[in-house]
Amino acid sequence: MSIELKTVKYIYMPKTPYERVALDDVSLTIEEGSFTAIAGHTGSGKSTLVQHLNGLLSPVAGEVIVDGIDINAKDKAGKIKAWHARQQVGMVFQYAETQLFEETIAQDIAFGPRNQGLEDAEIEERVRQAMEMVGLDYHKFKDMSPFALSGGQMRRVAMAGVLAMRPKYLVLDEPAAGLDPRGREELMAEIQRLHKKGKLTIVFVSHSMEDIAKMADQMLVMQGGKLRAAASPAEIFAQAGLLQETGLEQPQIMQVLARLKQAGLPVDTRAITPEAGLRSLREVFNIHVK
Amino acid sequence: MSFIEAENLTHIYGQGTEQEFTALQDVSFHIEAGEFVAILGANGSGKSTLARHLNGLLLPTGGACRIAGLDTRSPQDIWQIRRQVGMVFQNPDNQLIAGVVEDDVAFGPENLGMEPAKIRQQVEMALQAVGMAEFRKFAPHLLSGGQKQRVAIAGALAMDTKCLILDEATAMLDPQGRREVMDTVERLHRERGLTLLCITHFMDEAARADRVLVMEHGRLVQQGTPAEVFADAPKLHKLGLAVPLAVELAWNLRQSGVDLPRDILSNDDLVAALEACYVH
Repeated sequence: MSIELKTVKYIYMPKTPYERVALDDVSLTIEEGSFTAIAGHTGSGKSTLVQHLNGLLSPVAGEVIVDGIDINAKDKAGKIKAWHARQQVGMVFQYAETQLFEETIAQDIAFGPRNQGLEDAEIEERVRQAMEMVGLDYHKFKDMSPFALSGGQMRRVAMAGVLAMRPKYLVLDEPAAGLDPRGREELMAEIQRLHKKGKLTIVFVSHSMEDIAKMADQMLVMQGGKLRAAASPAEIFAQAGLLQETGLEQPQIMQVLARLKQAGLPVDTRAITPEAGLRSLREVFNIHVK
Repeated sequence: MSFIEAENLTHIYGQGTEQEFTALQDVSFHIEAGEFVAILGANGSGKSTLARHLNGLLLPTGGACRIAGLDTRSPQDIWQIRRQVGMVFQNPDNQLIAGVVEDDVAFGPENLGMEPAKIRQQVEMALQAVGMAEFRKFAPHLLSGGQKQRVAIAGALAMDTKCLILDEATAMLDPQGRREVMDTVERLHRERGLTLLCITHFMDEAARADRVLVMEHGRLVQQGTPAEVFADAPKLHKLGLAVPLAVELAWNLRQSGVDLPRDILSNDDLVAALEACYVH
């Protein structure tokens, strides 16, 4: 099972002077169970791309296939199947906390499942589970106003609202933007847990090369509406020219290691996380300390 | 007299209502003209509330805030204050208003009632200063995030601002955009003596400042040079913050017995120190 894009094209404001091709001939596959990061310059088409994954935007050409079903099918039989397929893809927007609106946290999270037409008992069970999944204690928080929470906690409520619809694929557009270091670390750890324990397929857009290096097993690089590269983060971060052209850079640890290597230290420049970098530095220095 | 003086600055949102919330409490500090100061603190610690006092977007509910000796509560001085303190916010798409870059930069000077010839001069100077002169006829929506932020900075420079406050101005940018903006403001700081206040969650940006202020629950809990503040990593972690990668790595390597100096802050420092103590 997978999400598959086949030669997808999208144009903003077609047939006007403002016409702009936002996605151009994009083909890619996101396998079930994978952890995919999408990176690229601002305006490279990342957000447009993720909005295609659950049909918020429909391509002007090409197809989006979720678990074998065309989610933009137009014929009568296809439409119902397409609706169900779209439900498999949950979407958490940038600054999702700004979309909270209900009086209590439980009501806010229940909004999605209620729209899916579920029974009250089922909704309550889902709210409880979704809150547990994002690390919010059900009894402590359910009757609180979402607006009494910190930014990081509010963002988790928004995520729980999406999880309560039980998607198989979870798409997050810059989930950690604007959070303080602890908030960022906690939220990213939460997402990692959803992937490992909750068996969710994760797709996230990020400007943080550190987060991508730490978490993703596949990295997609967008540039000018085109898919420029799709490979493991280690493979992409090894291509200096590609990073330069696409507005990205190596994680800081790689920059440090590369300079040390240049200075003649036998460090492992393939380390992409601080932990791996530190291991390499320890090896080098345990033998060579003055 | 310092350029910025906050004396027991206190701000209470919704005073006297059920939602009353003390966002700043008894915050006192001075910032000299030409200084580069970073402000750190967890989400909700009062950083943005503080920044909004420095050009009178918010007024103190207690204490006082003076810019170049002018009190932000005095209505006749407020324009004089805003002219000297420019702000750049987090979202590049929320602060450009005109359809063409040069019109956007001219907005401030026009409001100040400058002569048209002088405005043209100021706009040209400001766009040159941020390296955006070749984009003067562009529509802002065609620019990258980093370019939009540089146009916002030019808007402040065109009013002859003395001080720039960046309120997480790099939070939404890609790595290249972040570098563009930080390189630009640091150059302006160096070359023109611009006073720089940088509110940020990126510790490597704070490491480049002359001085760091740390906020927690509306109070100023620590201030010092980056070396002093980042020396106590456990304390920063407790505040929801972190230390720059170079500091973290140096600390770990010292723990494993590598003899590294304690004042390592940047990647440059770390690379130089490791090179020096490596025996070929």
